[in-house]
Amino acid sequence: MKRVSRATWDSLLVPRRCICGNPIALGDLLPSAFSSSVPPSTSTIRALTPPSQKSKNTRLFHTSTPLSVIPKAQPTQSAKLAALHGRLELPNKYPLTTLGRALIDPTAEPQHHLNNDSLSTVGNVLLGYYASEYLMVTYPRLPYAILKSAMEGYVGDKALAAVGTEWGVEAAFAPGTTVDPGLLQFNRLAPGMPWLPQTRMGGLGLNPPMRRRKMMPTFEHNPSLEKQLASEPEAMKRARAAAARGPGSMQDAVPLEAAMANFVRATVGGVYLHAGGLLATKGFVSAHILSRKLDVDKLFQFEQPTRELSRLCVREGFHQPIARLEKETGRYSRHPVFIVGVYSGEEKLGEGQGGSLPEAKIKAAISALKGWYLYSPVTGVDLPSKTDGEPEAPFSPSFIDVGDVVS
Amino acid sequence: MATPTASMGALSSALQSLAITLPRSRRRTTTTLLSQLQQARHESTTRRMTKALRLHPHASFIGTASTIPSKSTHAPLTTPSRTTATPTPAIPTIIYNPPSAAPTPSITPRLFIPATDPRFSPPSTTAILKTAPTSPDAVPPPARPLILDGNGNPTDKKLPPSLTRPYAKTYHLSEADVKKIQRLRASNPNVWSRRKLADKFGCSEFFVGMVAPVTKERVKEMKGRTEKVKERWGKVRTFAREARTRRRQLWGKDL
Repeated sequence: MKRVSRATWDSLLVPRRCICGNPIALGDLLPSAFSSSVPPSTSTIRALTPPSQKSKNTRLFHTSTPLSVIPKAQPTQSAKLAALHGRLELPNKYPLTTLGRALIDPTAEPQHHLNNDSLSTVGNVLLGYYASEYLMVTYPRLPYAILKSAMEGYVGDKALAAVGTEWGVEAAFAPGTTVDPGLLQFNRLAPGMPWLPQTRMGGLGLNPPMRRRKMMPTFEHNPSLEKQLASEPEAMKRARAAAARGPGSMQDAVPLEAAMANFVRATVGGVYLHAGGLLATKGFVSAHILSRKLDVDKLFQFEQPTRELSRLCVREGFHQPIARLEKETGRYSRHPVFIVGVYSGEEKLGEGQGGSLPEAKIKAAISALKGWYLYSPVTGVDLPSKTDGEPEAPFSPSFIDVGDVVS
Repeated sequence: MATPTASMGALSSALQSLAITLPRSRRRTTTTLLSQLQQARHESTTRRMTKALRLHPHASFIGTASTIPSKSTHAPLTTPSRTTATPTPAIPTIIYNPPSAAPTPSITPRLFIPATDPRFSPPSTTAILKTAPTSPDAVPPPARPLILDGNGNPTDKKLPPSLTRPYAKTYHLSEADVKKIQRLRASNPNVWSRRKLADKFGCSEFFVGMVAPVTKERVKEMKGRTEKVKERWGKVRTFAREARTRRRQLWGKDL
């Protein structure tokens, strides 16, 4: 395992986050600041004072400091964070503070320069790019609906949350200043509360400036934003009104799955920004995301497979498919088995087995259609991202299909 | 694609060789009742028993290293290589003898491989349409065509029988016919059902439903009638029909 040099950590001075949204001065972390006699308002005021006046006598990230500062509150001194950094084999160029920032969800910390909002946006774009180019080159004939669900299977919330859990990241119970920086901090959605992300409800979601999935500028008086706000469904408008009335009602809470997925996206974004650009990101994504096994052939569900196969054969100029009974056993018994092959001329397209002749015929048509849709060029075919770093690299274009079968 | 058939053949030939290699005494006693004192093994010595029970290797293994007498303990076999003029080279070869399994969709059928792929081999000419499917002189393919050899001559082997008799689409209906179908269907859908119109005009029910769909009120009425029938069903039939529908939906998933 690669080790992180201490010098790298200590040279980084990144403002620490605070639940009230202001960077904390180190003096706040002293035991006197946390004693019960000091009211919390004082802490805020002290935080707003420039740190240069106070931090003369206290050194910021000194390794030999006795435990006068709460050690776990510093990103560079969290064992969990350093262990995660090592486990992911991130290079030394990737600062621990960025990894710590990737663990802070926008719901826990609204300030953009302190949460993982921007990082996860970058990561999301890169993940979508690498996953889609991989799928489109590997399975060039995949129908659009299947391609989308395969993308969801690789870089969707559920898959990425599973990746984050496999990395050994745990979530804090609630965000706060005393939480270990190696824990995922986010505002948990209360049980029974509806979750209204932008993608599911339509419209802008509850918090327009926090639109993370789309590259939407967050300026005020944005005409496109206002247009979207006007065209929101009624349920979303009501939810927004409810959220505006009371703090903590419905605003800005996410389930664990979404927060964990955003953390993984932010980590990928951090790799792009710190660890060597597109090449390093490609390696990281293929090692952690695209190496996962997804049974693409299990994503299909056909409505009228025989008709679809027939249309396919007409489109491609093949003879009409004919189902032929290859083997059968126990036709008059309780559990017969039929094996039906579907042929175009002499060429066998697929084979299916079933307990009845219609079932076997439909299974055979499905097998043939899957054979068509899951065609994959020979391994070693070039991905478009091959030329990202080196534009002069030899590149052979991939197979491009005409599109779905319309039946 | 041909692997399940090949391995099925392998299984049956193995069973045949098992029947042959059973000890003669065992074969004799299968019909008689075994008494308690009678022993199960009938050769006098272990060596004879082992020899009698020995299975011959499958045909695809013959000629490979494990069946060369000098290198293995197997008894010498009468292989075809001994009779033919060109002996089989006794070098280790790749034996492809997989167990029988359902075909996998990851193996693309030969017809579906594009010409740009290095695995492309020209498919049989019988699979490629020579005329447009809408041409009037299209003839229905025979139910069990002969398989052609490389030169286009039919061999003795036939394709398996088709489930339904293949037919050629005739495309014989003109626009006036379609108009007539629509008029009849609209005039009295109770009398002019899809089946009756299909019989009258010699087309499929699907085509009638496509060119002359009924009104929404008619669909609603028919659904209401079906619901009335379903109301009379008991618990068992309702459950059975529901289960059948679910099973039918699962066919489309092909799990």
